[in-house]
Amino acid sequence: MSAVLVAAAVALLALCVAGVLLVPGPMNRLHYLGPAPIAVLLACAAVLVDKGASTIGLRAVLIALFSLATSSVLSHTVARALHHRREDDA
Amino acid sequence: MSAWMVGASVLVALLVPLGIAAATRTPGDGLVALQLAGTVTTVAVLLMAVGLGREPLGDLALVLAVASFVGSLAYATILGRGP
Repeated sequence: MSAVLVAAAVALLALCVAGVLLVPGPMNRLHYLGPAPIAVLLACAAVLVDKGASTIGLRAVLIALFSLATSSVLSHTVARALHHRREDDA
Repeated sequence: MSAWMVGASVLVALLVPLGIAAATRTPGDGLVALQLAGTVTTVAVLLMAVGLGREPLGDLALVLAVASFVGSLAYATILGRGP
């Protein structure tokens, strides 16, 4: 079960990387960062399934919570910076 | 090689094109690549911690997640201010 979760997390992150590399324009590329916290969640779920409520399991929960809480803030900040930069260029 | 280490190896390999994109494209594109690279690295270190059986690496993954967030936030703020 944990191997399936790890494979899903890696596949999702690979799709995110492909999107960031192949899609034109930084604003469009930013959309492909959205699924990244879900991949973190899958990886942390894999750790929890394999190791249970251990020290590394607690770290995994903290990483998942932090990633979920901050990814939207960071995406918004980056999008605003790109928007301001585009206005400056115009 | 366990599934953990295979996954970590694939993620480390994914950092190469992200690094090339961050180095060669525009600053905006580089910032997006940097943000994703932080997430990829965090997951890779977490998978390595389990695959190698070294739990202290889990602390490193947690610190990396926080440092990556703060670093990307700083770069985004600087980029938003303009040249």
